[in-house]
Amino acid sequence: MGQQINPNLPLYNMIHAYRIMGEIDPVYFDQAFQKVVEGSDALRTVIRLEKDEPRQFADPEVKGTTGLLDFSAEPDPLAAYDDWIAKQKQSVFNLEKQMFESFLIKIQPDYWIWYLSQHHIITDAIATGLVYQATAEAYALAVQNNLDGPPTLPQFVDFVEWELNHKQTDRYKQALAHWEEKLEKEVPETQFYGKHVPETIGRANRNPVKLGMERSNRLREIAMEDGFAALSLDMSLFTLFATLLATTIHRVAGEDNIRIGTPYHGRPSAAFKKTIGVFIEVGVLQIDIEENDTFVSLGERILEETFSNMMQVQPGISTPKMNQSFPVMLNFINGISGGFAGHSVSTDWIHTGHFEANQAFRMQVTDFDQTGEFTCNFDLSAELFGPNETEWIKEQFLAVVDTLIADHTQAIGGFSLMSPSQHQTLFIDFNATDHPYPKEKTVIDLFKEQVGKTPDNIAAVRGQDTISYRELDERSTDLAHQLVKMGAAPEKTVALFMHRSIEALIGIWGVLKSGAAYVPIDTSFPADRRLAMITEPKAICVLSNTAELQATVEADVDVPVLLIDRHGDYAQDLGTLPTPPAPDNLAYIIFTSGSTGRPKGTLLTHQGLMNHIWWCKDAYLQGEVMDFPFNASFSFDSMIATLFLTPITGGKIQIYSEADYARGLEAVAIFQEDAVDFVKLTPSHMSLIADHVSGTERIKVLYSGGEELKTSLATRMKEKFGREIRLTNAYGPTEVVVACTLHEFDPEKDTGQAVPIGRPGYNMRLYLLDKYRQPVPPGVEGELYVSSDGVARGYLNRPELNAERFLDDPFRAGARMYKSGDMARWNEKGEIIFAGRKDNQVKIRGVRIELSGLETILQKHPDINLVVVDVITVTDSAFKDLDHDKKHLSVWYTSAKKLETADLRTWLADQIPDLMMPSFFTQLDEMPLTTSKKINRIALPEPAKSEFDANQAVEEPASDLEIQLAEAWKSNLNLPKIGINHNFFEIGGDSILAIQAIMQINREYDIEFPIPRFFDSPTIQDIALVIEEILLEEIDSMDEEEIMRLLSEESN
Amino acid sequence: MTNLESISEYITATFLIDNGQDSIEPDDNLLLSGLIDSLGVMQLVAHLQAENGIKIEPREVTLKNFKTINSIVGFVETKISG
Repeated sequence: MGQQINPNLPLYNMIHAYRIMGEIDPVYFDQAFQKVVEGSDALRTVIRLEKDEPRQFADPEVKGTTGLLDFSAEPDPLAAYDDWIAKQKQSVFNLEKQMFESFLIKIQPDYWIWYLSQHHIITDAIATGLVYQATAEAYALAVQNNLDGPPTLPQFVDFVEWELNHKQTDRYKQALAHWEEKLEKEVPETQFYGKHVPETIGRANRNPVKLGMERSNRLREIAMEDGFAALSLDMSLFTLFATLLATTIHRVAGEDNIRIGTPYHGRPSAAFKKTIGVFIEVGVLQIDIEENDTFVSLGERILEETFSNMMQVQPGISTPKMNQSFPVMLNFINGISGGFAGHSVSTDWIHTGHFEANQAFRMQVTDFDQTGEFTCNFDLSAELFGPNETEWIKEQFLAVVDTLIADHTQAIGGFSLMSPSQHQTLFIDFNATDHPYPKEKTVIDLFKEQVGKTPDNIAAVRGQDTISYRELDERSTDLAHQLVKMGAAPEKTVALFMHRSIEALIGIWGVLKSGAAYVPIDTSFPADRRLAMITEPKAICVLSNTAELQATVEADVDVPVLLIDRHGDYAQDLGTLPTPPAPDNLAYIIFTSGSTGRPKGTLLTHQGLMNHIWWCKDAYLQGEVMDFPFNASFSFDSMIATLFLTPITGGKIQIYSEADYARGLEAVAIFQEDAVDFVKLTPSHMSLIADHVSGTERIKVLYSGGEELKTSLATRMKEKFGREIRLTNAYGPTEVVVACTLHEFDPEKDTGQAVPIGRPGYNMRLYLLDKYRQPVPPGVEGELYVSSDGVARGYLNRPELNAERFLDDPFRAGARMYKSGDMARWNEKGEIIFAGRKDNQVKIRGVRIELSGLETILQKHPDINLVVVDVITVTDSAFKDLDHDKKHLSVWYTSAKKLETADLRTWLADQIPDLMMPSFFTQLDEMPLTTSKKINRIALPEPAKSEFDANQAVEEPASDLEIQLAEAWKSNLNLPKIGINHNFFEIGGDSILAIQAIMQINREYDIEFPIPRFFDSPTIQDIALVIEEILLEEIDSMDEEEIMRLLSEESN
Repeated sequence: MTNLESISEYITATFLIDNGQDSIEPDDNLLLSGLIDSLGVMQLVAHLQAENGIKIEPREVTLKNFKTINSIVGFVETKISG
């Protein structure tokens, strides 16, 4: 029993306050209500222990005394009443003594309020109406001094007997079986605005939404139409309200399988309709939304379900399981109050402020006072519905109501729940981005113009080596002529298998000038991937910048491989090129991880590139000339601004080559050298370089992209700089050219958990749409679609995927849009908040990875049977102060053989780029499956533990230094134990964690650990040796005095 | 007794007296008259099933089948012969 579990909560109290607009005699009133109580065994019910068992019985000693309060002398009687009621509604009954309380309150001589609170054990809505009417009748008789004779209402005890017999019938047993079977079906959890329904009793707020007379009248008319019309007006109205509510849940929570709890009066015969007591039973409407449902087709199914419920909801049938099985409840209350002693009455139904567990909200439709106007009381869980969510659910429900009223035959997915003003702000104004750009030109034209202006400026630097604008232009033109001779032309492709280098810049411009598109391949990519990236786009040749790279790729393919040496001689063939690209020709192809394991190439055109760069020029540079670093793989598109914005504006590219720096250290070097103006990093990298920014003077823009940027990290970066810098955040998929939004971080205004992604750039439109491709209103999850001139042509050789992802923009004739798979919602400030991926694609350190793609690859391993790949977030890390979640890929598999993780890694390294290498591999005896025989991801064990227990021998650390390092690594890598012989990178470490580990060593021992030595031999044993070596060297370099001082400090 | 008579009699006895109404015609709209509420519908369905040895599915409890006494008679006769 709930009240026993929560004895101090008035959760189950039903409170009504009847405002009587006329004079009432409190003496007669008291007599009248006493009479009613005397005549109702239900009202006199108490619960007492008998032989340790709680038993209900009617106690003749319970009297219906009414307390009298007079607020009419107060300065503000109604305010005094409100204060009183706020306290009174929290009062809890002693169930052993009495389960109701009654007060008569005088506000004015001709304005009285009757306050009646009853425990739900003894009453329901119909019974409350009966108590009210009986009291009104008795009052009328009392006034005439005619209050005699026994009460005529049937007694509850008769029903108790009836119910006992009924429970023995077949009909009852069949109904029990019906519910058992019905509740068997698993339905997904319904979430409102991305929040979980609380599992414990909580707070709630009641929000009455008055529909107004016009709406109420129209609803009554529509209730009589096909689809909703049932055999009584009440049933028809119930069906209509259930249809409105189901549609609202479907559109707001995005759920197709909806359960709505609904109380039935449960009175089995006409006689019991006059009995005071609790008869109410709760049934469950199981509503499955179907494709192309209209209000009418949905109403028809709900009506059928309602009839089924009416047959199966029998007295005594409700079980706790039934009561916990629905997140939303609809209560259509047809009880009425009526007048009192000839005075008009208005009824307040007062909520105690407490709420059942496992429920999000209840909608209680009432018209107590028979005005003809419906009130929809939204009782909302306070944990789930804050002030914003409360407004949203009300206005979104009303949007559904008004749409149905406008045309009740329309589809339930055919409209947006946005209000007109939201539509204006979040859809029209947000996307008012039309802006001119040189549509007839390509970036080559802009580069040429810049060469004309600043021929002697330095275009790029790598170490000591520089190249001028003129030389970059000439060498690339010369290369273009060579390529044309080899067959390069618009719509042909040339692959670039090159380090980040001056040669790579010559290569890119050379390919573009020849008319062809370039396909950039990272030098760390494995052979299979390289091969696919050269053969799929049918590259006519490959460019490389070292003999070694040339040899590597020549072994793969039979197309020519050209070696570019910027110091070598060249033909100086500078004539006009015969086949320059047109704006609609292909400019480059970026390969990303694909769901089949095969990377997919995105085809970007010159027009898209031009539109993007033209916007970047204004949005990034804001009228300045800036130098950019070339510090990340050009195989992903994050370097597009560096590669194309710098050369068309007179800036310089500072090259941080993978040939010159260990992976992950380029970013550190940028801040140590401080030789550029604009730095683009993923948040993962940003947290890494946080300690290096304080000494910089030059860097003025820090640009975050590729992953969600936490506000805490952004704030910390600003603080670390300790001077004015611009910190910008961006969003955009490769398929629409790098990025389509920008936001300048403002610590004063941006106080949410994540920094907003900002507003779309020139000629780019960002839509947040639901599955019906309707714009979602605030709070509701939608998928991001990007429409722009820059939308890619599609993926290379993937017609099916193209049809799914690249669509005609339904909101703008002639435009195309990309369906991103990124889920998000609008917040109350009109900002976009991310809500994860729709598919199982993930981003790790800014790189997109399709989990199913990795699974497909692993499935090809000869010894692997079942395999699943997922992302785990390592929160228990020593670096949690870095304000960035540590996401790791983790693999679980089954195999008949015992497999070594190291062997698996080696095998996988030949198939995927190392950025995609999972951190954890766990062999399982058996794959956990769900009842529907799918892999049960929730039941997968913690990865690290099982890997170590099962697969690795541990060599325990011995020296103090080793023990300290082992502790730190265990914490960083989230491992239960670690051996001094384990390779950091084979037990979950990656380059970023490595840099962090090095920094930690530097702090801990106050040394400068030589970074390459970490990468040379990343085991605890060897790193401890290096630390010792450095410490000894330091001591050697000290004189006697310093050593003595140090020793004395130690001993203190 | 014909089906029409039997059903009319049941409705009169069960609902009309309760409602204080005098009479009901075979083509009177039961829904609009407010004569039968949801409890009444269930009582009526149970009665028709028991009396005629038929099983009425929830999807058959439609306005079309239950709008008037005549439509109920038609529906019941189809069920019996079907």
